[in-house]
Amino acid sequence: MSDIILKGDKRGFSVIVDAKANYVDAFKELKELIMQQNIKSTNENDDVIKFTIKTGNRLLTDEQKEAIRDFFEDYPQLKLMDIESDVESKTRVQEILDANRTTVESGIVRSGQKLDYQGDLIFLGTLHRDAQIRATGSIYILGEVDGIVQAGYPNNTEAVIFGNLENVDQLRIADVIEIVTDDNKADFQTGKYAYIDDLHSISVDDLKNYKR
Amino acid sequence: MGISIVVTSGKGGVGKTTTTANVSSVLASLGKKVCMVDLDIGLRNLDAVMGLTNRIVYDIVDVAQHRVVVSQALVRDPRFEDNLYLLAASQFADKYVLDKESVGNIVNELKQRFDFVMIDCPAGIEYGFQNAVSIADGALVVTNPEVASVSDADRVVGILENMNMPITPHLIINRIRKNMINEGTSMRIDDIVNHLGIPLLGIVIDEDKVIAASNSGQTVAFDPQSDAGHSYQNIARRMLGQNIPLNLSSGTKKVGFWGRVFGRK
Repeated sequence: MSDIILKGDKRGFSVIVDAKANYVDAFKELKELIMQQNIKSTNENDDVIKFTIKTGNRLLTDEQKEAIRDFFEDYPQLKLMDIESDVESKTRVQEILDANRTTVESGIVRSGQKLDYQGDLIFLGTLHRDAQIRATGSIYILGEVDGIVQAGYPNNTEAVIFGNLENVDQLRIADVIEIVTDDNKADFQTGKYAYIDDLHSISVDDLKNYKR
Repeated sequence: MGISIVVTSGKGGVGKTTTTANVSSVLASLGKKVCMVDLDIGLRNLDAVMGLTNRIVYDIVDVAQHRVVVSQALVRDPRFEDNLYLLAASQFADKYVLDKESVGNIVNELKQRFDFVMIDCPAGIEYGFQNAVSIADGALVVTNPEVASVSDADRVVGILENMNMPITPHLIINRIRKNMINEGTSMRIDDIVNHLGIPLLGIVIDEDKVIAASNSGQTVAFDPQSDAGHSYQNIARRMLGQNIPLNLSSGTKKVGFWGRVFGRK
């Protein structure tokens, strides 16, 4: 019984590698199978054959994927679209969970303290001067904030900061820093949100204009 | 090439930061290029007294660890055109990330660009103090007219004298209480000067306005109504070599009836 199944659909070919098979054997068989397909279509007028490798419940390492891609580089009439797996590594899953998490934080963040959050942050507490809160996603401020508020750390320019920001010292989104002084603090009152505009600087708009 | 001056005291709370802020801003207003360096890592205050906290993006630790160059970390004080800058301390790192070498490199670089590098020293005589004083060309020793403060200042003067700075340390007596001088219950100013044995650069009256000004991020030196502000003006002018006589009784005597009649003070 073969470890490799070749299927065709409207997106092209799928090569399904049985997850229970020995990796070395299966890969060898895959190569042979593909090489056979290639022999049958040596005509230069033929379209490039697009195919995807599906590994089921097996997760290939980056090195293994690289080796497979390298192999098919030598066959210009074959185009390996993707290597798909039904499973993800725990690390990757944790990253996905972290990025989509919303943390609710309360209490006082004092001078010299710096708190980091994965994902979005709803801040109910008090942020003192010389303290800092930092999230990889957006930040929703419901408490009193005087220090530095940073959303989208380190490079998420889609992140947004909501809430009363009149007293903050600095707003930061991704790598952009906005210093809030007496001259511009009126722009940062309740009912506004701060975001990175097309010119890659921080702008403020009415909450009613916010579109996700 | 400018000079670096450390403002130090040994004891905490005697007015190092206020002195640094006021003297620096007067020097800047007199057309000198001045850079204030806060070395009180973890307990920074100079930025708050100057009202510059919100403008800090990078600090001295970022410079010492080569994340940015000095010019990127300097915060310009918009009230003094291009004359007054602040290199803030870090509020997040601890003091051991700096050493004599890194502080020395930073201060030497600043001396190329500025006439005065005013270093605000942390309290105590330990690690942070050693970093601050080791690279200074001169020192302003701040003391209050009270035994504990003078005794700590004495200890500091001893350490400074052993370092053989190019400019001899000078004394500022801060927070002099008018009413105690009048009642004769304060330590006498000439006793303090004689005891410490270093030149007196100026005396500053204890005044509510000093604290009020700091609270609003202003410096009292530019308040024409303030005796303390006037004293800071005089101290800065003396640092520039102007000969302004010390008036120990300035403002301390009540103007009597005859004084008022004849317009004398």
